[in-house]
Amino acid sequence: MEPAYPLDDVRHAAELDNFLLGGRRARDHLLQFFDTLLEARAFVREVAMGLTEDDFIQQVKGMEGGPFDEYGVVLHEEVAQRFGIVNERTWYIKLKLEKSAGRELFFLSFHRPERRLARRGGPIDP
Amino acid sequence: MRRSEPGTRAYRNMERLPVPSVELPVCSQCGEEWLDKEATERLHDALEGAYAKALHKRAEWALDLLQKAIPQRELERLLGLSVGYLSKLRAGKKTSASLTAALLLLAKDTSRIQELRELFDAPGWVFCAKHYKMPNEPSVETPSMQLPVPTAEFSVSAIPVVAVEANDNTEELVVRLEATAA
Repeated sequence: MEPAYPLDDVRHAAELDNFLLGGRRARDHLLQFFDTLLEARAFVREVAMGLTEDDFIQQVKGMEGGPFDEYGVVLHEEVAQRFGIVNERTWYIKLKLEKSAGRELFFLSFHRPERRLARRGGPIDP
Repeated sequence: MRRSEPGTRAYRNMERLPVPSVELPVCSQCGEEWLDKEATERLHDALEGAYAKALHKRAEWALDLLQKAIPQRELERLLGLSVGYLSKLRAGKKTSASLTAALLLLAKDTSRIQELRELFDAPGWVFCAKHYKMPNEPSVETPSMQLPVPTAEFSVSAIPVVAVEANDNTEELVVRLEATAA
C-alpha cells in the first residue's frame, strides 16, 4: 500500500514550516523531551523533513478526517545529538496533508511508539 | 480561533505553572487545538513569560528570607554572582532556575549558608572520596554530610571503603588521596 500523501509534499511542507501540531496531549508529550515548544517544533520539522519511504508503515482509512499516513522513525545520530535526545530514538508519526492555499501538513500524532512498528524498511521497537 | 482556558500545566521543572489564556487555532469540527508556527510562538511566549514570573516570585521570596541571615553582598560572593546582581534581580532582571533553586534551598534552611561556605572552603581531596568527611567532622556520617559526590576516575575506588573507614593513619590517607586528586 502506498501513502495517501506524496512524501515529497510532506517533506516540502515541513521544510516551509507549514505544519500544524495537534492536541494538548501531543504537546505535553513532546515537552517531556524539550524545554520549550519552539524546540519541540524544530524537532518535529527536522524529523518530518527526513522522512523516507522506509519509514512508512501504512495508510489508515476509515477514521474521521482521514485518510492518514503512519510512519515510524529511528532518529539519525546527528539529529539525536543536536536535539539532546539520547535514548528516545524511535518515534511514531501520523499525518495528513490538506489542500488549501498552500498544502498544509497536519501532525495528528508525534510521539514515542507504544508498540512495535512494522515499517516498510523493517520493524522498530519502542 | 479561540482563547485557551487559563489554568496550570506542567512546564520545565514546574508541575503546576499558572498559564494565562492564549488565542489558538481550533478545529471547527473536533474542537482540537492546532498549533501552526504563529500559534506556537504565541503559546511559547505565554509559557516562558509565566515561567519567568514564577521563578522571579520564588527568588524574591527567598531573598526576603535570606536578607535576615546574610548580607546581600556576602550572598552574592558565596554564590559566585557579580556585585549588585541580586539588586538587579529584585528590580526585575530575569533569573535562572538554577539560581532560584539555590536561593530557595538556602532560604528554607539558613543553616546551610555556613554549610555551603564550608563546602567551598574544603580542600579538593574531600570531593574525591566515595565517602568523605569534612576535616574535624566526627567519623560517623551525619545526615547533613550525606551529599551525593560523583566518583571520578581518580577517586579512591582503589582503596576499599572498609579500609578508608578503618584507617587510623589519617596522615598517610591524606597523602594518598591528594596524590589521586592531583
